[in-house]
Amino acid sequence: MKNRYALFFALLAGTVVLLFANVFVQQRMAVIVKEDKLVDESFAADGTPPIVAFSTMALGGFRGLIADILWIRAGDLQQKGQYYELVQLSDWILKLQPKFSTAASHMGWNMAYNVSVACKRPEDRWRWVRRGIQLMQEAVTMNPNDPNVYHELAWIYQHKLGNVLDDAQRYYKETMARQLIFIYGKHYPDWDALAAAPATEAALLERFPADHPAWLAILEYNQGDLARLFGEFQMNGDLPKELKDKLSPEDASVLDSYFRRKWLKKEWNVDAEKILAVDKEYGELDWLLPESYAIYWGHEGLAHTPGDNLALTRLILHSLVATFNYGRMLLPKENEISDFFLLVPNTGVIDATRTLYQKVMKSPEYNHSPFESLYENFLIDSIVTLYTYSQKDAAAQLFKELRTETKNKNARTMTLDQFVLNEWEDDITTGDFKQIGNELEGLLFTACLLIGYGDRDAAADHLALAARVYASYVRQHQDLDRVALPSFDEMKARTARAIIENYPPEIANRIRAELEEDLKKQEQAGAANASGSAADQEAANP
Amino acid sequence: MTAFLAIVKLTIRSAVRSHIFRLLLILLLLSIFLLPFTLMGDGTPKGEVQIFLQYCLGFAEFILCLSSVWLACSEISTDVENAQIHMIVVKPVRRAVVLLGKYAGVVLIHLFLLLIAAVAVYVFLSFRLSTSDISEQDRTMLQEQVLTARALYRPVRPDFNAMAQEELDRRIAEAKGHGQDVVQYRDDLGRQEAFREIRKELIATYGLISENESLFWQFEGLPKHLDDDDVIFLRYTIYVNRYYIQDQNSVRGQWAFAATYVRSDDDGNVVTDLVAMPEDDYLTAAQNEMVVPLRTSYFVYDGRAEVGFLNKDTKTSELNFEEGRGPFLLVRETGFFSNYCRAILVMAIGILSITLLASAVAACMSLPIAIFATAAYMLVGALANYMVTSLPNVTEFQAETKVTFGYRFGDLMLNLIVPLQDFFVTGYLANGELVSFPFIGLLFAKDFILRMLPVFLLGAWIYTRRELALVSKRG
Amino acid sequence: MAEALKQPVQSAPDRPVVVSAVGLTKVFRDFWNRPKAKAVNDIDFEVREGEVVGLLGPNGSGKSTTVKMLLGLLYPTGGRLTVFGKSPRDVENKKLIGYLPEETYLYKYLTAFETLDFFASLFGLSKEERTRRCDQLLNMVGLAHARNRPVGEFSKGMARRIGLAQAMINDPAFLILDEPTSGLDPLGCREVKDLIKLLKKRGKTVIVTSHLLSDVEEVCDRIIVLYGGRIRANGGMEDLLTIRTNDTITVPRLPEDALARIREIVRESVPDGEMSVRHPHMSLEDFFVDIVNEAKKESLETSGSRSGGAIAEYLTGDKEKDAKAVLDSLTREEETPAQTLERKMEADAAKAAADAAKRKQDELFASLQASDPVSGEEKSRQEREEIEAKMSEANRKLKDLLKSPGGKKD
Repeated sequence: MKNRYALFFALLAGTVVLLFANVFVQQRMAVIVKEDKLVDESFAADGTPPIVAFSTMALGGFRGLIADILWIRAGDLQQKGQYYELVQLSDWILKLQPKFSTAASHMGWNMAYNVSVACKRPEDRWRWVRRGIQLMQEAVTMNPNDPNVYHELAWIYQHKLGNVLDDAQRYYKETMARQLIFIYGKHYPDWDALAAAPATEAALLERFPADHPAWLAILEYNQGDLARLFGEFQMNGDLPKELKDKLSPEDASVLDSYFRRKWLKKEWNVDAEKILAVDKEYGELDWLLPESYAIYWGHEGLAHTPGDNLALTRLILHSLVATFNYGRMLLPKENEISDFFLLVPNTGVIDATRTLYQKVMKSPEYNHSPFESLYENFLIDSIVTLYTYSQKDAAAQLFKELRTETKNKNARTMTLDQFVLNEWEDDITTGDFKQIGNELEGLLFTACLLIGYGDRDAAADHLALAARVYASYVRQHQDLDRVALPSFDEMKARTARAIIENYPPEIANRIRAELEEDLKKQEQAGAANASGSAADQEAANP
Repeated sequence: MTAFLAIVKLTIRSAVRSHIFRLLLILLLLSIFLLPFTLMGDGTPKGEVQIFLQYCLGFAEFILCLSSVWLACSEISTDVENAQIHMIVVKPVRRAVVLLGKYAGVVLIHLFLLLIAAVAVYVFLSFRLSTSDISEQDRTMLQEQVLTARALYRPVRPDFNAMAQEELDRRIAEAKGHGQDVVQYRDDLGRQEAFREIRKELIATYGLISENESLFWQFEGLPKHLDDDDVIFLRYTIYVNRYYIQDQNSVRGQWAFAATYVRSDDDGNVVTDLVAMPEDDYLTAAQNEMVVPLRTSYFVYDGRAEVGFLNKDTKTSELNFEEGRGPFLLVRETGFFSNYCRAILVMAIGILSITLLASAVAACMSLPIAIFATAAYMLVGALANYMVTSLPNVTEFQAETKVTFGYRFGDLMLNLIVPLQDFFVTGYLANGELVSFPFIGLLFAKDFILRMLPVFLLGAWIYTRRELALVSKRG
Repeated sequence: MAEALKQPVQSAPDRPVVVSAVGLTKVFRDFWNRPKAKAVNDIDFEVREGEVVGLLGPNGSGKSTTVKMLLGLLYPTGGRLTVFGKSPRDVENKKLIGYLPEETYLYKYLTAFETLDFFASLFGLSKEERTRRCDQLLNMVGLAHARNRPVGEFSKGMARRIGLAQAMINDPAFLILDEPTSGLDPLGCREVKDLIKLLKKRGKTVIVTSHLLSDVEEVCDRIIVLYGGRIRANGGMEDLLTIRTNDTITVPRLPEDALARIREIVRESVPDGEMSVRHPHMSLEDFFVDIVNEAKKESLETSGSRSGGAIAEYLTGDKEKDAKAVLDSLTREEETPAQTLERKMEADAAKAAADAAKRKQDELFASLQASDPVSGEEKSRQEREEIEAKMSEANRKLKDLLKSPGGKKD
């Protein structure tokens, strides 16, 4: 009898001790869970999306089986080249297995890359890329702490839309810019205002309580049906005139910002507040371009994953470099997208790029060697670009860094001016007549175009550079007995004429205004030439 | 007859009262009226219509199959289990008539529902097409490629056996000529193996076209009474190298069509000319359709036609026209409505077959076991069909190499079991392909008569000979 | 006596055989085909046309099993069983058979009329015929008012009545009734018994299975007692139940001295014989029936079943609606001349007896009135009622017996 009770009490005591100890363990575990983001906060906060909850519960163990069947069916159909079911199947597979981020990444990549190239028309291609993006956006919602999905999404933006590998890449950029500018209202929206706008309907109602004149105006307009108002806003891109007239300018601006913020979130799943943060961190980006969105998603990915992530960092870096090279969109008419857009460098991101590079270099985790050459090339490019765009001071600073931080010989031995010219002349001395001609034409083209787009300083720099190149070439090849290049002015005028003929009137007019004299001279010279060549021709043919 | 009709009526009344039937009916209505709004097409009107046809009708049919299995099992089994059947079989009614009556009742309900579903889907589709703003181009594409019924004609498959044999003989002769004594060619077994290998290789490489080379396909059996008004489509899928979907882009090539005509001036000789289209870029890894640019009266002669492709691509090493993926010729046979009705007919046959199976099984077993047995049959059939058709596509597995267990098992099962997929022909509708009457007839004979009917007869025989009082739950 | 019990006794040896069982055995097997229970063990019996046979036995004695084998719901494992000379599974035979199962398995959502209509259609009857028969049957079993109510709402008794109705729907030559009176109130029991008697008069063969021995006693000609799968007794009611060693004499109320004299006679005839005198009892059933009939006269409402009182016409074959009269006319078709004569004699005798009884009662009434000093209308009313009750009883008995063709209507 005594033995039995003794055992029981001993076990009881042991249990109590263990439970007590467990409390400490649990606390430690909770901290780890939070740190390493092992639980998806977004799911926990809003609850599982109903369709996912339904499929998990209703289908039970069959969920995986059905997902497999759908997957194989999708692959099967794709082999046959029948794509029309793919969007639906991908959506279902994602809903059945929301946490399977690798599968989602694959499907998104598949639609954006493989299916899109199977279409001939750029509109169709855009549609498939967009579908891939939308699928990835949903995958991000389901897996907010998974770096894979962020990477895939950012990659599609940067590599597919941003890069120039796809034949339809200009179409992509144009369409994206068109859609975005409609939402933004203008090319460079006031991100501060948008970020400060109410984020939810509740916040809006707080801002405009029941007795506020703005709310009363809304009530008068359509009995306070915000949803319908939102719909109208999306259709027209602006508040209805009736309503706008009744609101004070500040209130109208707040309402406008609220809708735009909401619209942006709905269509592209990006938040104005976060865009502002990215802008502040990386420099002012042009948010009509895909590279900016790539940076956004890379940044989001880093924010949501514990520790550092090499892939995401590298992606951000590449996007920054791309932004530096082509990250600003010039439009013939401001705030109006046309297919005559021009992509020019965005020098605002240089600092951020440098900071990120240095961070990467300092970090012991990363293998440095691929980054070193990348950095060196980046510095050289940025120095040349800054110089060309007349930002000599910034160029000088970078030049100093190039001297000290890298192993570049030229930097150590030459001055800034020599260095830049050397970079340019490198191509000139080694190239032949055709190449030089192409180079010069390129420079002149850019110069004239910049005139057309209204950036006269940059144009002047380019012209200056073109002149120097021309002079340098003439100097180097004056002894050769070959058909020489046409005169510099003639080349300039010819290029200008080509642009005038092919580009919209806004651009043409600006060029005409700037280069009036040159063009007139060209005409007279051309008339003389024409008569001359006509005589030559007659002589040639009997 | 009166007895039969009375049983049918009673079955229908009893069925309508079943809770699960009502649930399935609601699901059916949802799938017809709610599903269209949730389906995601690929953004084009054509894709939308295709996915609508494919899934809406498909879902409806699937739910009707489930419902018919449930009802048939429930009606027949429960009567036996709760001894209500005693009141009936002591009357001068043959048990077979009782079984048939219940079967007919269940079938009638479901055919009626199928009709409603079909009408609803068709009306919905017409409504959608008439109201929405579809561009002219899209509408034409829709009319030509989806809302039509075209018969598919496959190219004549070369005699691989003969070719392989020829090649084998050639190799043997060559080896002899060189004075080599190849071990493999010595005995029959070795030669057979070599033959198989050569054959595999021939089939795998048949569709490959190197640069500046061409490949021609013959078509036979086309309708002979075609005139210039009949439009013929060429459906093709070009792959680069193998049929992996990666690394596919566009390639340059040239299509050529054989024009056959009777020369009027000469003594009526039949002349065949080759008409080539200009070089163009063709997208790979996508199923494409184009109108044959040649006048049909020239293109099709005596039910025959010939099409060729010349590889003008410099970037890639080989183009591949995967065996079994074309090119096909599509000739419009009839309109969409007629095709739609045929598809519904196939679905009706499906319902008849499945109910037949369920009735037969329920005639012998208790309710849960009957449902389980029917479900197991359907599952095995679906899986077997899946193994045979879809698996090879995904696992890069040549159809000639039937070595994996799954494939073998599937093959064997398909000889005995009717797979559910046989009755789901919405894919044809979505691709604008004809559901031909011979096809329907063959389906009916193969599935309904040859495989389901014997099962039903067996079930009916067992039902007739059962000791019905033995299973009564009330003992 | 034991031997006498065991041998099958035919009551009418020249009638055709309806059911013949020789060495009938039924063994139930379990899942592994091992014998589990011998429900029916080597029984022999015969049922001839026109007999009403009662199948008795405790639970588990094989009654239901035998019945199910008769109907082809179970197959015998041994022996031979024929119904109308053919196998019990013969479909054509079923036209002649009606079956009332122990528990009625009806389709709960059909109305009473639809249920009967359904079962009628299983016989291949035309629509008009079906409607006619169903209506008549509903009237007969007293469910005409519940014609359009779903059967699921019925009480047990009503359900049994429907069951009975469907058993009769094809005017079967051979009826098998499994516990026909279970669940019925005494009125219903009475009607069922009347019906069985009527059927017997029409020459139908009936097998009745029951626990309620009193019911069986009243209607059956022969009984078969089963126990443990074997027949323990098989013979006519009269033969089995009659205690031949005693006599019962029923006479009108006798004065004491007459009784004493009779006792004397008895003591003289039988030395040790004891005579007991008591008033005969009417059966509780009869009493109950009378009470209810009275209530009906005062038209008290009841939502339950009411006794129909009208036998279905098609069963009767003519247009008579009145039960009592119809009972008479029914017997017309089946009679032989000898029976007619017999009946006539019985009728005359009965009539004479009835007249005598009436006279006696008048005298009694007169004497009572004279002797009793109690005055008042109340007393006389009481007495009058009493007498009227007796009169009506006598009249009823008379009517039962009355068999003259053309029927004397009252």
